Amino acid sequence: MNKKIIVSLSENTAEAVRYAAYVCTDDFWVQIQPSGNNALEVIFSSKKDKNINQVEKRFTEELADEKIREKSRMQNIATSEMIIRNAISRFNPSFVHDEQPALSAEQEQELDDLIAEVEKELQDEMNSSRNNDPMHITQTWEEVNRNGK
Amino acid sequence: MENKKKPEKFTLLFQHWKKYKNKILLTNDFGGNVEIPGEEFESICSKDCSLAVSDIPQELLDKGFAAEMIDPEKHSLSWVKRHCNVMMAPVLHIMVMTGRCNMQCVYCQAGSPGKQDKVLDMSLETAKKAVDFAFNTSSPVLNFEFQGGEPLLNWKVLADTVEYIREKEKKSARTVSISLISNFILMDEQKADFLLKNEITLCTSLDGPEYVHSKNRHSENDISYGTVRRWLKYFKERHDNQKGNSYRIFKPGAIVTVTKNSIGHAKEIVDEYVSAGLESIYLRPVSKIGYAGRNWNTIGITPAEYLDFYSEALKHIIELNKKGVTISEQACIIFCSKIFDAGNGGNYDVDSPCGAGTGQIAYNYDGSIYTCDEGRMLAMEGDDIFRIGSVDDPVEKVLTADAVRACKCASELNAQAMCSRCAYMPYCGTCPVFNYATQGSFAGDMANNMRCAVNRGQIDFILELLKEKDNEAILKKWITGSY
Amino acid sequence: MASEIIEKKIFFASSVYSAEAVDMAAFILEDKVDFVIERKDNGMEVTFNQFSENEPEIFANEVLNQQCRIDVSKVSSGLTKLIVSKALISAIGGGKRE
Repeated sequence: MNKKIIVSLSENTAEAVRYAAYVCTDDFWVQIQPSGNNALEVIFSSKKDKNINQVEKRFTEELADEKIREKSRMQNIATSEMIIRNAISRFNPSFVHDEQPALSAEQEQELDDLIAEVEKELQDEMNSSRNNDPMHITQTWEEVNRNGK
Repeated sequence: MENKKKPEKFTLLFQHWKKYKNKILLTNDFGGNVEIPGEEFESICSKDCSLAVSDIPQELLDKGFAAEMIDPEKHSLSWVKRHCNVMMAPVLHIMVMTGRCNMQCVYCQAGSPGKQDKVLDMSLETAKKAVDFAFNTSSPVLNFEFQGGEPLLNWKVLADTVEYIREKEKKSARTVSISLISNFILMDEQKADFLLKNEITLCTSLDGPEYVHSKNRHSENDISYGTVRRWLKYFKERHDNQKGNSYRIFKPGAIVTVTKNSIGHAKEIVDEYVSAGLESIYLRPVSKIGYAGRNWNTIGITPAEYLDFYSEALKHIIELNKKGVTISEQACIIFCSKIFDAGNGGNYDVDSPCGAGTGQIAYNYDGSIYTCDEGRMLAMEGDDIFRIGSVDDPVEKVLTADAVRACKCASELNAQAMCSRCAYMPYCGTCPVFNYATQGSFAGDMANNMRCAVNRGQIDFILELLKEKDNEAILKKWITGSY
Repeated sequence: MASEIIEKKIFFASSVYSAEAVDMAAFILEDKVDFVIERKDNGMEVTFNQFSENEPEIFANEVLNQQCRIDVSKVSSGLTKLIVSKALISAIGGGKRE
């Protein structure tokens, strides 16, 4: 037995529809297909003895929750990045480097390349989000107003 | 913060919440958890989460839920405490001394080849290379954990390796601890003396009273239970009477593996630990990895069965604490450490990202290195996807191997669809080995993941317990005692 | 108990599911489910042969699982890379040795 729910994409994002449907996959099988001009049709069918009538309420509640999350998602990510960047640069535990066995020239080069790759990834991520502080959280009132922002 | 002009409006960062009847628990990964009435949550959300200060509970402003009120120092420190594994080199080095075992436990593959195949023993040369490898990593603290199979079956190499570790320790700037996980069947006073004089912490498996333990852990003539109890008593007495020693003796420990045989005996298992003089119990559910997965019809339990067992056991443990008995539960300590913003509980599994390959590594008896012991167990069943190198490889190459990177990406919870929205994300972690073994991919499928269901259920129950002040005081004391 | 059905097709429209999600599900389930994938202009058609129980449904749920992971990574990949890179650098001792 199936339950079909049509969801308008003018009120919900496709990501939200997919996630709300995914959460129900513990008890239901799910397929999603385009429906008409600007909507998606979500088709649920029961796994084993689960009651299909329960899915609509669950799905629509999850969809409503997604709308709330979407309001602050990007700001939340930006804030998290700012805090974690700060954490990574401020708090550095000690490392110990005892005498190491000698490596061949080829091994040294391979390791240098590997370390450079990982350090670059870290630096790229820190640089790309350095300017992402639209709320000026890390700046004082004087700095913000002196800069005319 | 003092120089900042207070904003007129705030943007509330609502990403992680859980509904309980008519209340909402809000959490974030910067140490914030707040419970507010459902109507208040709906009222805030209806205003687009952007409100004047007078409309917002002060607790939300103080605990990192308002973008404009973030305190970078305070919240960064909170994040670091919870995710300290990200900032460290490997601490735990698991040395699998042999694949042989003198028991046949229902959840372990080690008993299968029998006692005779010495090709499964780690040679002294390999053991020394593994120790050298560990000392070539960069953590100022190193924990060596000897296990197997049954490590005492390879006693000579084990003893020589312990001496080698202690020699290296003297020449290095490290703090080294060593532990041994053994079934104690081959233990004698000479070995015990050696181990204690080298300050080795002893740990064993005690699955409960004899009628539970013996069903899980089969030994010749069923001697396992009596042997474990005898040696736990011995080591506890040596610990209690150690005054005047030139070396430290640590309390012995034990762990439980909860299987179908354990169900219905939660209180008896806890009481067994108390009667054995143990002050800590770790109620781990059997994991559907490797051999245990093949034997699942006989020993497997559902998340619901485990959670019933766990809640009964934990309630009993709390009641014992109220009567003055010293006994704590490890999984509870791990979760409470994060809930109370006290740290990460010293665990590598329940973390984001997990410690596979970076917080811990496992050296197999043949010199192969794996991301963790679970990854190694999977290799024993024929799938070595979690093998990251060998003791002959350079440290940096092993610790940045593809499997390590993949484990990190898969277990970083911001990259998981459900976890990144879950109220329990700041307290939780996922295991790529478990996900791969049970669901076919490192990231798994959390909506249908057994470990996710277990973690959520445990945290549900712990948060419920914490609503009573008496219980909160007990759980806080466990955390203080463990640090 | 489900009787054996010869063939079932599921169409994954590209406006809903990315090809990457279908490919990842296929990779995960290739040993467990018998299927053939055909790429069409507006999506991917997966044909299941000689199946029993709910193999096509299992496949569809896995595609949705993978698609949701792809969706979240579009938003959080920067954060994940930051954390993972730091974990790897810390594991090797904080970076290059002098």
